[in-house]
Amino acid sequence: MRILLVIALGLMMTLCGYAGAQPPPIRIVFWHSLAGKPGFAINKITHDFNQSQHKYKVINMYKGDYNTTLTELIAAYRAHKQPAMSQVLEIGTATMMAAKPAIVPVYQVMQQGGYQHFNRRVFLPAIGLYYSNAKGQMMAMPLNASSPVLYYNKTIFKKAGLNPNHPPATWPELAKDGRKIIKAGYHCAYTSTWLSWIQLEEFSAWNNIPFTTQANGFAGVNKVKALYDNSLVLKQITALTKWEKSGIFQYGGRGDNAQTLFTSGHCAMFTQSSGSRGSLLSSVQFAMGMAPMPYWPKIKNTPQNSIIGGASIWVMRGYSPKVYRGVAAFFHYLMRPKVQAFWQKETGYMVVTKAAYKASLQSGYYQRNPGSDVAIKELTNKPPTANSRGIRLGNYLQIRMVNDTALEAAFSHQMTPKQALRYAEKHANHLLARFAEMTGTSS
Amino acid sequence: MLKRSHFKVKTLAYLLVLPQMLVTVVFFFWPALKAFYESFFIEDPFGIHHHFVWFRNFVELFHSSDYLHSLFITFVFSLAVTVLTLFGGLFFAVLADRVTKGRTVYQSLLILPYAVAPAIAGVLVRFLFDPAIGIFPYWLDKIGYHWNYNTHASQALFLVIITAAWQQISYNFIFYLASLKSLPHSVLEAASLDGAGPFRRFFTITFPMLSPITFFLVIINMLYAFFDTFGIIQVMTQGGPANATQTMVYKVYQDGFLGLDFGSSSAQSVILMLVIVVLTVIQFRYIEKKVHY
Repeated sequence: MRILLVIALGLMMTLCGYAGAQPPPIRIVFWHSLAGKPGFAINKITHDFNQSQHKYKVINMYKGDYNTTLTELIAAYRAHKQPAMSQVLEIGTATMMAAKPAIVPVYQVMQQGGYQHFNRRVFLPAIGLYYSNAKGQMMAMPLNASSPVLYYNKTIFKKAGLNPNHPPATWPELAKDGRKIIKAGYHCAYTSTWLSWIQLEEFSAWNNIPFTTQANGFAGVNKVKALYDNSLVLKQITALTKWEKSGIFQYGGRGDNAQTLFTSGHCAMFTQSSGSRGSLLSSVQFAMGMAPMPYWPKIKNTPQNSIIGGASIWVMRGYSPKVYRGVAAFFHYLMRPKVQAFWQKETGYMVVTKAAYKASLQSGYYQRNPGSDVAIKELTNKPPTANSRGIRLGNYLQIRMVNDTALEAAFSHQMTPKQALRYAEKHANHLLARFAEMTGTSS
Repeated sequence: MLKRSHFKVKTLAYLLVLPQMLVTVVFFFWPALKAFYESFFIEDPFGIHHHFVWFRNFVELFHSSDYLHSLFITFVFSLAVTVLTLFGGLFFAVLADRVTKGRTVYQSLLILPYAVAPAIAGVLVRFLFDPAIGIFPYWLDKIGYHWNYNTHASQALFLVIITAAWQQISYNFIFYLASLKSLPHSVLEAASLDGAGPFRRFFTITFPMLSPITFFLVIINMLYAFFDTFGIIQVMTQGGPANATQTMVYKVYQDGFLGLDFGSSSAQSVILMLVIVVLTVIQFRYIEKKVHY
């Protein structure tokens, strides 16, 4: 034992002596929730960044899923042990923005790091607007961005006598195709993952109707009221419950539980995040097509544009300026078109900067990979309006749970669609008012 | 009973108790006091804004239909789990007590579910009952019963109750079997000589003699249903569909760890603590009187 210790000490001293030739790099800890393919990709990116220079060393730490990472980040902050940067899911944006003493806005980090050209306009509009404050300054660094898209089983389409290269563009078309699929002997035509995200939030943005007052929460935290108990959302939920009876729609549970209904070939179509493209391609046994989310025709200016999902990187307070210069250098590296292209290719998430999008277009990446551009086309379909640049709510996670509960009640016939939406709005309004009080912004 | 004089050096006694006390203080008293304190505040997740609101967190809870619903679900759930495990355990213990051939095999198999972690049990049952890939829904469909616990509230509640009970029956089984073995044979033999049949013997002699252990198990089962079933619910239903399986403990987790509303979550923990204290006191004061030791 003692001999081992001596050897270990000796080794350490040699290593230290060797490294002493250069000042040791400044360590920057980064917490994230990226597992599987995105996990490998982020490790490769930080590894390459660390190799590209010797001043800074970014240390990745996987902290569990999004919710766990946010909870741990908050616990760490309370114990004064926060990392320099952390990935936070998109619905945590309002929570992070309200925590001014805990964060350093990314635009400040970049300015002080000497990157004067960094601003919101570097990013795709729907992405830049999502993470910027009322003055248009970037508060967080967009990392992984996705949007919901319609995936469909081309094999089933063929068997049902439908054109496999002509997916439904509108909800009535989806119902029509669905009827043919049911007639061909299938039990389910369409299902959806992430119901409150896709059927309420994205649905509202895609059809250009407001989700809450105060410009979907972008104008402030106080006096925000839910607005999704409206005729168009009611029309959508009523249609889904009606289609449920004939098998055109099937409810498949919360989160992404419905995915197995599609991958097993039970349902012919389903809506899911574009970020799942990579894993779906490697897991399904049939020819899969991708299309934009359907919309309701005869509504003015529809479809509008989609909202991003995914997550961004937030910089935490409590470190020396040297560390923040390193963070700025890392963000600058992350925005390089080459790095963005690598990220897009490996994960299926979108590129976030205009320059990277242009480079991807020119390189012919989207032509070589059919379907890979559906989400980014949805996102850039039209210049974002107040209804479609994003939704920024406090207690957002609980609001999503309330909405999931309401939709579940509607699809399990415990409530009518109208009752469900009224229930969701009532509970959401309570949570919104409570958040204003929690953050001390209510008057 | 050991007499006080048995321990001559008191310090040793205190020293031996100290680790246990430390664990209790650090992992029970401290968090409990902290929860009690936090329940009177409303604050943001990061703890930047923090203000005292008297009993508002509690008042809001009792005005929330969701919270009252979770109280009701907890009541139904724990009652069902307690009753099922108690009778299930007793039933198997009485039968296993009579077995002469291959006794150890029966006993080991009956104890086995207790060794399965709740989360694993949840995954197993979810796999068996999954509406898309499960074997049970497939069989049920053949006899014309439509099974989908993702959309049927009662099916989901039934499934988590069965899973929770299945695990805890083993625990009850062990305790009942041990007490059956320790029953005085002379009394039972005297009864059978007097002509009492097996049912008569069971209900007038065996069951009353088992009452201390039944009393103990009622409390343990109730605590189990209240707290230890979190893993099963988390894995199987996440409280759904439409809050049909949202017990009080699960709501504390959802509002605190997912929703980051520490004020409300703390208030819920305090209520939960009170409920448990009240139930335990009632049991000790009133039910224990009927127990024959």
